[in-house]
Amino acid sequence: MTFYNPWAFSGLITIPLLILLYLLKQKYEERTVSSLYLWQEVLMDMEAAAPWQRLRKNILLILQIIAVVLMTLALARPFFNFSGSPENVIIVIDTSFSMKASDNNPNRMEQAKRMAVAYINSLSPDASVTLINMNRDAVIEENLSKDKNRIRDKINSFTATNFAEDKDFAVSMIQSILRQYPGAKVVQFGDEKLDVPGKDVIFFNASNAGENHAVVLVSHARVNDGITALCRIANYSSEDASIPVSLYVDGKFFDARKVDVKAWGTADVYFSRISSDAEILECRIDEKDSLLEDNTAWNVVDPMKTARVVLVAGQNIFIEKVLSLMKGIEVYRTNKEDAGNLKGYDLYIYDGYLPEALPKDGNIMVFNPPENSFFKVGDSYEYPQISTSRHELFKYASDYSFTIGRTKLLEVPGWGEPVLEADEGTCIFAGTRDKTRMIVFGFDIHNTDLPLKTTFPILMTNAIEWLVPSAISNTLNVSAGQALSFNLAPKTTEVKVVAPDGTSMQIAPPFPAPVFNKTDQAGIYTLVQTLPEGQIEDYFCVNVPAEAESDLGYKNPAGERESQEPGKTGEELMSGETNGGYLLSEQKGSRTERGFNLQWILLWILLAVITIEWWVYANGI
Amino acid sequence: MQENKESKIRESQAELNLKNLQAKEPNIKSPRVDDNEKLFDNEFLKKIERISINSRIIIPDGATGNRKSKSKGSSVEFSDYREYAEADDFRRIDWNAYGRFERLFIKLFMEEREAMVHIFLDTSKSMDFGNPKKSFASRRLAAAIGYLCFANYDSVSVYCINENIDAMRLNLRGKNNFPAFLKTLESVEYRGETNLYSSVLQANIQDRRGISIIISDLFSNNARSRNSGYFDDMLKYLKFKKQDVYVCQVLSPAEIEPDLDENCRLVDSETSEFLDVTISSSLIRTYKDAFRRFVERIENDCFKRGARYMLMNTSVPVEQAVKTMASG
Repeated sequence: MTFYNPWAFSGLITIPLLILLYLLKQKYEERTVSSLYLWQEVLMDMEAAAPWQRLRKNILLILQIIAVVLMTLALARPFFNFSGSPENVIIVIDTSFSMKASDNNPNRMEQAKRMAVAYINSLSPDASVTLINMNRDAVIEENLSKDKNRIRDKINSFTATNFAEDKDFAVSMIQSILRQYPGAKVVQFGDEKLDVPGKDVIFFNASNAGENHAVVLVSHARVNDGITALCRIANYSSEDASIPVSLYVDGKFFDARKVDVKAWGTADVYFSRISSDAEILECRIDEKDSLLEDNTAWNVVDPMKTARVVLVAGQNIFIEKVLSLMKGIEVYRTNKEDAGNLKGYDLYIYDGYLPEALPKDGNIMVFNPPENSFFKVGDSYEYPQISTSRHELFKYASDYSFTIGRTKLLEVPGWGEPVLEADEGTCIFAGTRDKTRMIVFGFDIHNTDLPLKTTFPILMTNAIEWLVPSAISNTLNVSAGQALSFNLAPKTTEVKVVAPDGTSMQIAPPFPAPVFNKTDQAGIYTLVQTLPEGQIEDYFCVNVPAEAESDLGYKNPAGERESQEPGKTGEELMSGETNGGYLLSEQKGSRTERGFNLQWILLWILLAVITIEWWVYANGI
Repeated sequence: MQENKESKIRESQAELNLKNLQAKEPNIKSPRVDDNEKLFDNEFLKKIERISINSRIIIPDGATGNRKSKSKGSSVEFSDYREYAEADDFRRIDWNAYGRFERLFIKLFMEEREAMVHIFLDTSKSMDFGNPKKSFASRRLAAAIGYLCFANYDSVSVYCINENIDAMRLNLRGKNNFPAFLKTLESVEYRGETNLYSSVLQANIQDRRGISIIISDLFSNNARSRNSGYFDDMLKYLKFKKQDVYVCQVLSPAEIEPDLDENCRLVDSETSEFLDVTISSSLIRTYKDAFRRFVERIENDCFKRGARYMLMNTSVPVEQAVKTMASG
């Protein structure tokens, strides 16, 4: 037998104090006897004169001592361990979005927590527990901890998130722990069993096969007569359903439809002729199901702001052409001679030229830069051997077969980072200098065959999206938990994000603004940029990962749907908890013996003893 | 019929005697006597009238009394015959015998002598205890014995003893001395501890055959505890003084069977020493064992020394104890 809280035995110190109190409290009624002659003889016989002897018949004291001992034992939480050696348990608790489903009372998360706490209670005090919180990533909340109270507190503090779970990450983490402790048990509480190769996961299922409908996608397209919204409705149930769907535009009701969706299928519904001024589309399913949070999805309409771009160069047909293909951009052209005091543009593109003072109201793109005071330009180099870039600007670009005839090798300043590098040095770098974003190409666009390659429009689009402040269309709609960075206006002095619940979070200063990852709430977020001339408000929305998480039916680790609920439902655990301990856990025929917590039994006995003590006191026995 | 008549006469005589006694000693009432029950009243007198102490001893000498003696002399009780010799009182010749045998025989009669009775009454503080009180029962017993002795023309000495002799009246004879005897008993003060041996030694009784009656609870801290040495010494001494010894141990019911609560501080009435005890059945059992051993020791000592022992429970009427004692 072991004890969870051996320190509780210090409570036994109260017993001598209790006896002392009784000795002090004892009152002797004076009785005159003719002589102590016989009594002295009696006491010599009995040794009854010893103080403790006088306590022998005091039933109240005896009961109180028993009560103290029982209370101490209960606090020490004795535990009978049947399994012998101390266990090492990895407990994985799923806190992904699907755990919010209310198909279990009150929901899957609470059920999983209850089961996990009951399981912890049934573990021996020597058991080491590694607690993993699994949602978009897997976080080790407790590592090899024996402090059951802390683990319980930790489990109770868990809440279901709006994130989709990353099972692969969790499995790899479990595997790495198992490599260190091969004998460790893996116990999972959630709604979808993990498949850990080479290890049988003891799975406690918190789901109850709830039926669910979800809005899995809201999108839009600008057409001639306004905006058309696309809503994709999923029916995660075994029966075909006619689902009522409403669309709200900027918070106002726009239209409602009934959408017929087949069992386990999806259906698209279109809402057209939405005003082109609309900013926010909100699609709702107007009925209740097991998971309410995925019945609403949002979409932020691309604001279609027009960015002013000035090209300071002679003729550069490639750049002009590529800019003209981009929506929302007005291109201006000027000469070097007039470029000195340019202002009022969102983007300045310099080709073979740089002014002495850089403009402060827009971002900058430079081709073939001359010597300047802002960054160092090195020697020219012919046919550099370029290497593949992992920079954001080369996102989606896979064709690196272009050749650069001649380029100036650039020295990347402290505020920049290389974008394209050759063996000999950097050909392109980008960075933010005094809140101004800048991309510098070391070569003349005419000295390369890059414009002839597919990489060029991709690179230029990425570059313009990064450089033009309003162009945050790629981050208008994200899933919960996804991080995003903002393209801020160069003149921005303060940036705040207002969450759907009204919480305001300051993002910057300091600049550059860090990546924003507090997208745990679903709904519309407002990005507020404070500029000298006023505030700019942009919206972006965060949707729950409905496609990944809204299917509440059970799927096996291979992703196949299973009609039968596998795993344990936890009823045995629960009954074990209320009965004072948990004896056995069975998982697919395997029988894992654990232990028995005596605390509840002791507390019941304590209650009985206190009741007897009260009865004895009340009846004056 | 004859017996009834005689007893009625005796009763009326006894009543008369008592009235006379009370008339002679108007202040006989002592504050120590319970108002509801007098030490010696008519009721009690009637009960003990017919009892006499039957001592085994033959008194060899002493003043003429009402008790058989070794001496042959003038009395009504026939003892023996012997042949006439010169200088015999010819008035005692049995002429009927001469008629039958033609020889002169002298009729011998048992001479009746008085007995010397010593009553040792324990008046230590421990005797003033119990319900009914040992003090009352023991004095009543002493008074009854005294009365019977006076009625029998014995010489009675009473000694009130604790650590020493507290009071005494010596050699009282005849019923007319009974009031004085009673007054001594009634004016007893209960105090101090018991020391029987030293007190008896102090009495220094005459070296004549007699009767000594010890009335005590025998709770003596000087009893050499477990072997009751001093008690035995006392018996030895009294035997040496040719005494027929009666030991009457007077105990209250509470001493025989203690009735105590949970926690008690037992205070010694003599010494004021105390002892804290928690009463339990085993403690009471042990007490009873100790009490039994204590009584057995006393009985053994008495048996060894030829003394007669009697345990008197104060809840039992005194006259019954007197009867038991008188029957020997």
